Amino acid sequence: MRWFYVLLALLLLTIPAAAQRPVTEDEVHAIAEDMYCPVCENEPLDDCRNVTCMQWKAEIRNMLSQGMTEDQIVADFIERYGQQVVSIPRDPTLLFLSFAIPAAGTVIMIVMGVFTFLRWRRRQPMTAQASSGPVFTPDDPYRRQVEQDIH
Amino acid sequence: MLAEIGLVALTLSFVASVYAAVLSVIGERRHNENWVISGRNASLATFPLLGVAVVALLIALLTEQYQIGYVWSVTDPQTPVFYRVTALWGSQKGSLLFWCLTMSAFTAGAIWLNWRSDRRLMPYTIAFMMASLAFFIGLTLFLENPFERWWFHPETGEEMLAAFAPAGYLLPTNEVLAASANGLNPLLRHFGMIIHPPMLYLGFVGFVVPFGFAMAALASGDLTTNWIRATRRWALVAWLFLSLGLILGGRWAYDVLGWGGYWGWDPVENAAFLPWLVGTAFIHSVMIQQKRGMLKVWNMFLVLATFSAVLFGTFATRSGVIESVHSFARSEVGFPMLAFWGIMTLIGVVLLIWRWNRGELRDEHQFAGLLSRETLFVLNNVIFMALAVAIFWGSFGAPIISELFMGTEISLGVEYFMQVTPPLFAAMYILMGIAPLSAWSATAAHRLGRALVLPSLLTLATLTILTLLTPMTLVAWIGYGVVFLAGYVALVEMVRGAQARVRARGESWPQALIRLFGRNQRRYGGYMVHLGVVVIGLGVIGSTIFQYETRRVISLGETERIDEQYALRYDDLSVGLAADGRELHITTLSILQNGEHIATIRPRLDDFGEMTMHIAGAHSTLANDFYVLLDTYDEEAGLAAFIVYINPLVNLVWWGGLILILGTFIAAWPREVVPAHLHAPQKPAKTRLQTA
Amino acid sequence: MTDNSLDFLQEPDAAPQRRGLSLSSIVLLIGVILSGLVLAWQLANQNRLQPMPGEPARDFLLTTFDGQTLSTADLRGQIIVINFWASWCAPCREEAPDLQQLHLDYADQGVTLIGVNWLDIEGEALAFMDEFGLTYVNGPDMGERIAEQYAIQGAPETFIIGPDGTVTHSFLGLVDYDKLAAAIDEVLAGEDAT
Repeated sequence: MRWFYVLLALLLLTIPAAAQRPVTEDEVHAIAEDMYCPVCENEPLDDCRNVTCMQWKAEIRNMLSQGMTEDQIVADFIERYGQQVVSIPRDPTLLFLSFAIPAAGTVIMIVMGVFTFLRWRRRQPMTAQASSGPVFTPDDPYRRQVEQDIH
Repeated sequence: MLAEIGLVALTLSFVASVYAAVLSVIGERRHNENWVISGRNASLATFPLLGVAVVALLIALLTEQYQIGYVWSVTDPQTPVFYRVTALWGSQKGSLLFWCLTMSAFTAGAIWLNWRSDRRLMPYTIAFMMASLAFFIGLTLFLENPFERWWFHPETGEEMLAAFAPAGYLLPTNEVLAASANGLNPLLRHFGMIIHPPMLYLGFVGFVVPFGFAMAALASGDLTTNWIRATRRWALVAWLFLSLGLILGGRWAYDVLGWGGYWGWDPVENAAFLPWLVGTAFIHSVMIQQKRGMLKVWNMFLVLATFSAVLFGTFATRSGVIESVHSFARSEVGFPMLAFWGIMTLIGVVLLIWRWNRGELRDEHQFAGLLSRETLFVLNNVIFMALAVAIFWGSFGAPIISELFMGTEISLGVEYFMQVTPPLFAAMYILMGIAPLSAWSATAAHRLGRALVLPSLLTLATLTILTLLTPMTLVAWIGYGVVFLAGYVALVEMVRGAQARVRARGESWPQALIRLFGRNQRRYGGYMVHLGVVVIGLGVIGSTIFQYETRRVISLGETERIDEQYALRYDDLSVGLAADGRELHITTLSILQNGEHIATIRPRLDDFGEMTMHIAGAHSTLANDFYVLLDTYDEEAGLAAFIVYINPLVNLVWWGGLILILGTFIAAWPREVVPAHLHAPQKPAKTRLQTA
Repeated sequence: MTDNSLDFLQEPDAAPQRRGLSLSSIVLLIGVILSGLVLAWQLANQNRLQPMPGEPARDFLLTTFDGQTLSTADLRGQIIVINFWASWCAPCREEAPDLQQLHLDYADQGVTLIGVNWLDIEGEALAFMDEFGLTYVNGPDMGERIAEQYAIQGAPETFIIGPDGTVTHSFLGLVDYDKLAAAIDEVLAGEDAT
């Protein structure tokens, strides 16, 4: 039984060595793709050719080989260099800020469009000054008759 | 000599533009025809004057006058002739001067061509256009003057840049300056540089003409469709150049910048996209006003918004308010440009509200059915404005608000825009599929449904074939689906129109098509533009969703398998020197498809000393681009690291762009409304009343 | 007899309806004005420069590589030399021996040298410090906060803050022993005079 524990201990000792797993370029790229270079302005980390960016990518490779997940790596970078290194902020307030406004903008535009359409429906073309041309309604029986005759 | 000529011409053009603006307004208000004509002539004169200034700078660039500060900062003795020309717009000062020239070209053209047909609107139009021009010339003349020269003090050895010789300073010799000249930024040493900025500028400044007419309508009270008629074609022309500028910019990024893509969602790129979006909304909704006299206030707002977006765009690019790889260096033009944007936008908004309050912008007709073209165009506007809001927020709004009020700098990039915009783009394509089938005032739902049957069947058939041939995802299915639907609707409409002519008039098919386009330029030109957008959409979906990217290290002489059909063989490495002094490291690769050699490509590294550029080698077919970048290499070990992209359908983006341009040409081409032989005889020069 | 049938020729046209200032108009106006103000504020921020001589010091907190926290406000009364550096910055390598020498020479004269490590990787920074034997206090600028406070545009940049809390010198770029020593001597002399 004692040998078993010794063997187990030896096996456990090898795990840290196994944790240094090889990392492919594509894996580094997958993470660097969505990150920005902290030094250059608004340049994706992956496309940046600076020596510094190479070092940062090497750091990512290092972290990956130590078994850190993408979230952990990204969180570490954010802590060191600020929210500007990611293309979508991780902070909940900033996240809300980023997505709420376009959503609100779309809703406002839709509301304006609906109002316009309702305004067009409400004002029936009865007043003489308003209309100066023939007016159609889709329910017009004459129109329906004409359409049937044409087709 | 050249600097003096340039300075004088620039100053005169400034004086002329101010004079023109002031005199046009005063002349109109005092009903003094002579003053108005004088103002007009001054405004026309700004174009040749600015032309002289630009030519002077160009000659200085070509003849290597390094005493002129601008020439010193963008060229050096090794710069080849081609790049000397493009250096004209290579940096802030020269590009501002070039901007002024293009603006004056547009204003002169508008005044020349529209003088008689829009005489009533002209004085105020000139006033507003010249006010804008005067601002930009003033900016160039007083803050960013390309004609400033280097002076040095013989005793203290100090150097400085100034327009005229400061006391005690002398002009240094050309040779001394040539030795230290900067040279053109390596990023700009590409063929694309000769077209992309000029096209973009033409697109931007072109919108000053519709803006001028709209403001003139508001200021003078002539709010009939006159200003729309005058504006529509100019808006289309500006829109054409802007589309060209954007597409060419994408092409340049793809070819030169070496990241395998063509649109980075960078703030400066988006700043150029915003006027395009608002402009497209305007082009559509203006048809509602022309056909039925509705949406007058909204159209006014759109024209103002488009020009405001242009001013904002150039402000964002040149002031450094947002950091970007595209930005010019920090300069003093920031606050003046912001002030000008604010003043112009406020004046426009105030005038608009004033007229609106006085009830002078009321709709004529007021009824439209649910599925009528009016309603669908309103929906079109909703989508484009929502897109504009989203893209503005992502590029400028959120970063600025978070930096000012929350103390953190954020960057909203590709990931963000790829989540926010696709639903809106999909809605846009669906609308493109339905709106051409709708009628003005009202459309019965069953009619619309019936008209959609054929295109829908064609779309389903195409999607089925695609699914059988290539791997598809749900997102791709939906994306291709809406895009193909829009495309087939446009095609079916064209075929149906030609078919009607063939049946009714017995014309042959080619004849019928040509006549169809000739008689209904606007409608069928518009359909062709839609087709162009459809083709671009196909290219974008293919190259975004199905892009394959991988990094490989290949030994000299070895073949590396990339995927089931492609393999890459590293054949050769050579190093050389180019004409402008950069070191070229060129690798030769062979692309093998299913074992057969199909192409040889040469990705390379351009070493400029202070910067290295990775120029891709690509094999382009309609199906895809096999695009390879050289990342780095080790000559001794005989290894090289490559980044390989397979971009399916990416060439459709460029072809779609061409179709779009062609369609816009057709739609905008001036058409003969009255045949020449039916023109009324010319009026006599003076009436009896005038000679009295 | 009054004939009213042609009266309509004399009647003036009905004036077009006046509307009050609608909600949209107000929103539009306020929107434009607010946007302008925000943009102006942002532009002013972006154009902010590094501290120039005569300006009050911009105080900050720094957590050193050893884990201790340092506050520049607590060091009031001393001469503080703040040096922004990074391991990837070539001129910083040239500067480093000079800075270390400076630290050794002036530490007992009430001069504190602080190294702010900007946009760097901890491993590389520590290796840099080992290579040049830097013993003065150094810490990473987390989240780039200090660099933003100082509007740093590149490395190296060095600032000297006098005992009264005013900036006395700012060097944007490489600085050598002689230049820095001369500046510090100047501040010390000024101190003695008061």
